[in-house]
Amino acid sequence: MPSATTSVRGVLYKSATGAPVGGAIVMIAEGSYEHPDIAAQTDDQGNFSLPELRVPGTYTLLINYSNESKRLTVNLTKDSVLRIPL
Amino acid sequence: MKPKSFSETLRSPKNGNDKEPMVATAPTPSRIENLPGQSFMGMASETETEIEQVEGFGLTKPGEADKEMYNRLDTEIETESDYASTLEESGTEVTEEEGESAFARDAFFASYPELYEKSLSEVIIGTDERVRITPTTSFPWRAICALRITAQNGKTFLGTGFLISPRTVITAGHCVYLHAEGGWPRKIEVIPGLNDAARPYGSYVGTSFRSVTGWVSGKKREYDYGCIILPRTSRPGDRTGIFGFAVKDNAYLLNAYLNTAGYPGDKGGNQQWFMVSKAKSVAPRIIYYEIDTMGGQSGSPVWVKVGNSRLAVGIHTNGHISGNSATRIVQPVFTNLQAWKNQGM
Repeated sequence: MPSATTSVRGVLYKSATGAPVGGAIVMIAEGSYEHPDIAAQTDDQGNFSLPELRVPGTYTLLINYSNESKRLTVNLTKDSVLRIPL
Repeated sequence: MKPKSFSETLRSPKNGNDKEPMVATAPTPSRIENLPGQSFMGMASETETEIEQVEGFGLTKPGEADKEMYNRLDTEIETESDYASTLEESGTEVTEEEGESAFARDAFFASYPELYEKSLSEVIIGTDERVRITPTTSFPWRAICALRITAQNGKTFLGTGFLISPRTVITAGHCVYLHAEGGWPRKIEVIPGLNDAARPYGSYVGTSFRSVTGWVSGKKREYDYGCIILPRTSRPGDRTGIFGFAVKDNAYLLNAYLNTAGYPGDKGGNQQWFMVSKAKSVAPRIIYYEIDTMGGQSGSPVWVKVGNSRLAVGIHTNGHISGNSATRIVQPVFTNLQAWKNQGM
């Protein structure tokens, strides 16, 4: 089945309090397919989008926030909405 | 994880390698950006052909993929393009007290320890060989711009661009047209030579964008390029100098040192980082390399240094563990860049 490109949406929040994490930078570090080298920044509600990703596919996200970083690997589909605790 | 072989990636028809054979060897005509102590290995290539099989062929009529598309024209004076007969457009350095030697002393050696910094293994192909550029006030670094993109839907993104005229900032198509984020952005803030909190050349907001049919309507990776035309009163290129750009053949690209610098998100997006390498391979409209890049570097120039000239030959757009890549400046791209340059004079 040919894959399509889409924007994958997500939200970052603090695992301890549930509060949204704004101002974090989210990007793709590795993936099943080549991906745009653009980075997303979370808004005040912790929301972000990663545009033009070929799905379905497996991608490793890199998240930079407050001088810390986190990586996680996720399987993405057209309708994926990520909720990521930090 | 061991990636699939690069030759396997290259044989994929979606990469455009089905149309044109690759070239293995040629003289090395370019120089690297004053980076002593680094060695670089070229890669021999082989000639292969396959049956054409282009994904999504019907989306754009043949020959129209490089047709210009834009969101607005009202910040520029439209002029007749004076197309040169040669496919090379020179840049200007803008003479200041800092020359290239200043980079060698200040940027490279001041940052040299970073060369050995351990980084995230999956982000970087092999060892992280990026070098931080600081200060960013000498050419060509000051002509490279951090981009703060606000999409139509309010989402924000980080990218990179480079000046080719006083008001023309070249970048990736996906920085100026985001298909699932409302298309053309609301605005893009352009910050030449951003260096942590320092904005030595100020910042400028652009709302007039250009790309081409192949990207906007066709969504094809091979046409992923565009530009920002800044308002008439915003002319950072007058102070920073500008990149030239050129069309180079396969043999040249496979043997040239390719430089790139941009604003990677894993470094916070406020620092400029540089790396140089030879191309791994070239496709008719894409250049592949093992230059380390990260999210936020979309739109970075990929340039060759010949004497004192810096000529962009590609626009960095994509990352992948088997090879990062740029939209190659071929004749139709060159023609559009030349027209956009004239619009930003």
